[in-house]
Amino acid sequence: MSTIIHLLEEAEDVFGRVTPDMEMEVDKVHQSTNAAGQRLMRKAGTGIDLFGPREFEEGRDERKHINPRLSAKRDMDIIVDREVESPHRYGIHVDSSPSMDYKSDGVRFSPKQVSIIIALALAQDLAKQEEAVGVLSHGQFYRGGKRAHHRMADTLSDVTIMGGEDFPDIHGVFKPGNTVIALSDFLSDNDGRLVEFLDDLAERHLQTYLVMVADPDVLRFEFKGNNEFKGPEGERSLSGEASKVFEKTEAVRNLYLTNLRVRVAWLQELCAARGFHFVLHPTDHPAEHAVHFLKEGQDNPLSLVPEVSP
Amino acid sequence: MAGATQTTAGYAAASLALGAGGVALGMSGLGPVFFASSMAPQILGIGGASLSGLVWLMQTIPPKPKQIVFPGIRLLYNILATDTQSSSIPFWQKALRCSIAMSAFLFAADPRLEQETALQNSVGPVLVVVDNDWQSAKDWNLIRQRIEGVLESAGRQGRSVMVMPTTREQDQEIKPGPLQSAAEARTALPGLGPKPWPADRAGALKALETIQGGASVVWFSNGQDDPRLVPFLEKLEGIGPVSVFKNNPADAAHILSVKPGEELGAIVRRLNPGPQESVLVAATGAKGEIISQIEAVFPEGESSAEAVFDLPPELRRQIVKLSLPDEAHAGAALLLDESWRKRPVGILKGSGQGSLLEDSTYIKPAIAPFTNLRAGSVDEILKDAASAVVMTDEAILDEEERRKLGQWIDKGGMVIRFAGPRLAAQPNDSLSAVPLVPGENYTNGALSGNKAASLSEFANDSPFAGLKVPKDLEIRTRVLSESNIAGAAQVWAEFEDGAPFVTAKKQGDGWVVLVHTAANLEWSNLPLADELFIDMMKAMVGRSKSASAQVELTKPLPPLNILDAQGRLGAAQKGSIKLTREDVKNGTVGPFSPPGFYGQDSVARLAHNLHRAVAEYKPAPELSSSVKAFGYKEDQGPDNFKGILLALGMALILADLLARMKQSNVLPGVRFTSKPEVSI
Repeated sequence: MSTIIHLLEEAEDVFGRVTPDMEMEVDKVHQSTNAAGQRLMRKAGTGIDLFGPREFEEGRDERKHINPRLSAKRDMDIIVDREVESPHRYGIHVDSSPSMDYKSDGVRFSPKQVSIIIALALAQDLAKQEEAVGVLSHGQFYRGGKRAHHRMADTLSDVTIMGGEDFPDIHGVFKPGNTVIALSDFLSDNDGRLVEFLDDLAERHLQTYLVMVADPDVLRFEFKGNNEFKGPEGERSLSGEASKVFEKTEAVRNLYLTNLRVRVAWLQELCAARGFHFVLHPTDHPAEHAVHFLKEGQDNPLSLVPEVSP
Repeated sequence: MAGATQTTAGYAAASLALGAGGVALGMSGLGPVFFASSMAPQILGIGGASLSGLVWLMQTIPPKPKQIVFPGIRLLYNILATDTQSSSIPFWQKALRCSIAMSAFLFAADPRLEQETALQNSVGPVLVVVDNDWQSAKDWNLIRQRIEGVLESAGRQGRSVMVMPTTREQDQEIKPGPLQSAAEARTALPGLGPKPWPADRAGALKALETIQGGASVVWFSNGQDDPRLVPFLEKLEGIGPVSVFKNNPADAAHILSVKPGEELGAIVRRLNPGPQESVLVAATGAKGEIISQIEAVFPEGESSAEAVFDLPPELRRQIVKLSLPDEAHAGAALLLDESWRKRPVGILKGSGQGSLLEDSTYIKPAIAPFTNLRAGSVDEILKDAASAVVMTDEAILDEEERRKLGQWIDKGGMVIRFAGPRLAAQPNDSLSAVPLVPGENYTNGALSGNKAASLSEFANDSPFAGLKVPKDLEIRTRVLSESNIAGAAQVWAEFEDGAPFVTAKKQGDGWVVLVHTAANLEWSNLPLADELFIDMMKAMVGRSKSASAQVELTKPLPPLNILDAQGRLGAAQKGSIKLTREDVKNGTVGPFSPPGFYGQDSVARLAHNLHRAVAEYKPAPELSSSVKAFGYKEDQGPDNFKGILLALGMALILADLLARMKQSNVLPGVRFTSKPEVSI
């Protein structure tokens, strides 16, 4: 018991280190996405009766789930949603690699900060509904109570300190049907590891959401003049180049945007092929958009990348 | 290749053109701006030529690219740098850097704003006329700066200069200086200083007559009116266009004058009868120590104010100068000699010392208020300077004392003697104004009907003229003079019966005055006729000479101390400086008789003050419209741009530095930080 109290205190302390504006943002996202009576996401498996009977919808519901007593009483086919009794696990991964710290002028938060806001808002929402939420790499899941997202913040802090930029090992953590949400800019050189990670998730029948959180500079590339670009982690090209110099950067914008569109399309396709969901979230957009797209799906992420101008 | 050659040739041509332009700019200046550095043409020539080279360098050498740490670097790898066009330093940055270089060259060339406009729109030689009189000392530094400004301006315009002061020197009459370059005139300028005497307008006018040909005239005026001012100005205008520098009348010097009367004080005069004004007047001692100071207040519209010091005799005796502490010129100092002090008067001690009925009992209180009174023997009295000696009938002198007293009278002393029984018994006393008839004469005897004699009205030429004879005055006993005294003595007062009452005899430079009755109440009630007795004593003592007045003026007096232009009393150079009777009579203050103390010693000396030569002190009338007028104190603003150029250059360098930092992505607010901004 004392251990739990100590952990809670520690978590509270860590959560206190989240900047006030981020905390406000988390609350704002939580408020705007927490509609009464709605569950965050659809979940697989048998469920329990809820106090939310609704009319049968052809094609969406199975006839065997029609509740005869309520249907007779109301003279119409009534369905009652069923949920699994066991708590559903949500593993959230926030990429903390240096590239997530890039922040362009005029933008309030970096991709990492936005990712944390989204993660905490989700945690707050899910924990309120008695779901188990945890940081993917950490193996600990927190359930229920208002403090869940505080503990989540604590864990995220550990992840950051430990260097959680790589995709985590998920062996023995999830059961089929559990959900994994990965927030990253997906600009790492190691695409092979990404594919491997997604394949692993697919094999375990986990519902997966990839959220690409990108700075507007990355999405729009509106640099001008003489610039020398370097990677934040000392990246080098295949030919060994440590940097790229463009004396008139605006001239290469179309080429860059083409490359970016190809990359986003590839990520989208990578997810679609495995039944996963892909969300693209620019950091200059409200974080609740990302939460909304996680629930409802994003129709055309590529539309957020500027078209190549003629 | 051909294009590159053409471009290089173009830059070379531009260099030559800009270099030539820089040389021309350095030589001629730009409008009211000129370059003070002697190397300005070379500096600006090199600067102009190097600007073109700087532009070429900036065109040729590409700028350092801006460093950006970008997370999407992998999306740029397959983009070839050759896909882009070549760029160079942006135009605004080229302009910024050229401006920095220009600021540096201009700074070195030392640009200055031409502030002297007195010589604008005129050509030819320049005649600089300077009223370096006593008034100029007050603001001499300012005047000298203005003179230097005009000379510098003339030098820049390549005009020759002639400088003419309007005060006389000892060794020469006023005359224009040689026509010389402005630089030579500036070199000689330290020799031109203010003098502690007035400008000699007549002498200056005469000197102007000797000038041949025309010249632009710049007159540094004292702003004071003068009977010869109009012809002087007309003569100046005849020489050429005239610019006049003068003080605002409110800023002009004040001058101290003697205040008539017995009170110690001065009259302060100002040039402009403007609003009410207070001026501090100080009374100082021999060592310059301030003994007292008071404020003289000019009422609004008045041009003079009085400053009267009410000091005890002990302090009054120590004062040698009144001055205006806030001003430093000869007019602000008024030297005081012995004539300013209360006359020293001695009473010869009588034989009945200590007696309540002593004759001097009535004299002492009567004359003490307006004299420095002391009693004693002849030796004791004459030991210090004395103007008059009062001798009652009780005083008995031996032969030696009589001889000393006689010598003192010969030198200008005055003996005021009262009659009495002793004198009546010795009618041939040498210290008597007139020969006397032996014995006392009783006026109230039977022959006169038992009626005491009274006095007739005082004659107009008498020292007592205007005094009223009280009706109850009774002179019962008197001594009578011999019947024929015509030519031997003057009669200052007489009885109604025509007998003399006060007779006076000139002896040497002094006087022997006899009052034909006693100084006590036994012979008359004169000592009790307060007003008449006091006024008569005052009039008689007033006829005595002060110690200063006893100074021989039969021959020129050598200087003891003279005032310099700043009103400081200093040691005098002997030689040609001397004070003559004519100087005193005419109030001449000049190089041969500057203000100061003249005489043999600190007592027997005369104070010669500047105010004698400044009878009228009023501002010059308005100048004609053809004369350009300037004020000495006109604000001219900053005269050089070095500070501005330095600040501009530093600001431009800072701006360029910030621009380069921004371009190199090292300014605060950069796009990337390797350290996470969130600590969780």
